[in-house]
Amino acid sequence: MAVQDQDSFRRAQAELEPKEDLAPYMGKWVALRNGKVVASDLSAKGLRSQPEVRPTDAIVPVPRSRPGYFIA
Amino acid sequence: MERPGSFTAPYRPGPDGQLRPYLLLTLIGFKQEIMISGLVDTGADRSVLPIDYAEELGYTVDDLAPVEVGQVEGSASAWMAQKPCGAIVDGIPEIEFEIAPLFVASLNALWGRADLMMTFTVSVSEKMQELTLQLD
Repeated sequence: MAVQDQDSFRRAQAELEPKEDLAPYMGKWVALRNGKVVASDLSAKGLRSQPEVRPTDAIVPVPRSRPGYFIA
Repeated sequence: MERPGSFTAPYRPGPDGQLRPYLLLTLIGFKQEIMISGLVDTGADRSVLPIDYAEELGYTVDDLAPVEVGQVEGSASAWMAQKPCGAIVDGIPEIEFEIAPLFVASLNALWGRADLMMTFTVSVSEKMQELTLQLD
């Protein structure tokens, strides 16, 4: 495969990267538009029902994280 | 030097700001396609998703079977998809594979061995903070 595949892979992988700190939303779902949070809710369904959320927005969970090491 | 069919991307930050091997997949569900960022986890037998994604992907109660899963903190209840949905790694649209996720009551998404890693050889370089997918 060509080198541009590698470039497009890296670009595509960065697509959902948030452009703001998501720490205030830990434990919730957020709707991201262009990397910015436009709404949040405790469930994905509740988030989708909010009027400011568009069908094209990315619906993303924000897991809780405690200080220290993370193990899955 | 890059090998043919080899795709490398840097670790990306999680919500806590820590860099880890997150991978963005698009899951092709029964009512819509959804981009999901998950942590590549060689210790997970299967891919694991938050339960809210089940409805988002179009799974119904009849499509899910209750199971017990073992994890570091003990056992937990989960729901196993009885039929797979399609999946592609974002940036590698030519390769489609199937994922039958385990849905759990958590907000963490994990990409495990039974699906993603049957399609790609996955390696991580902690030293370089990079994730590499290699087509077999």
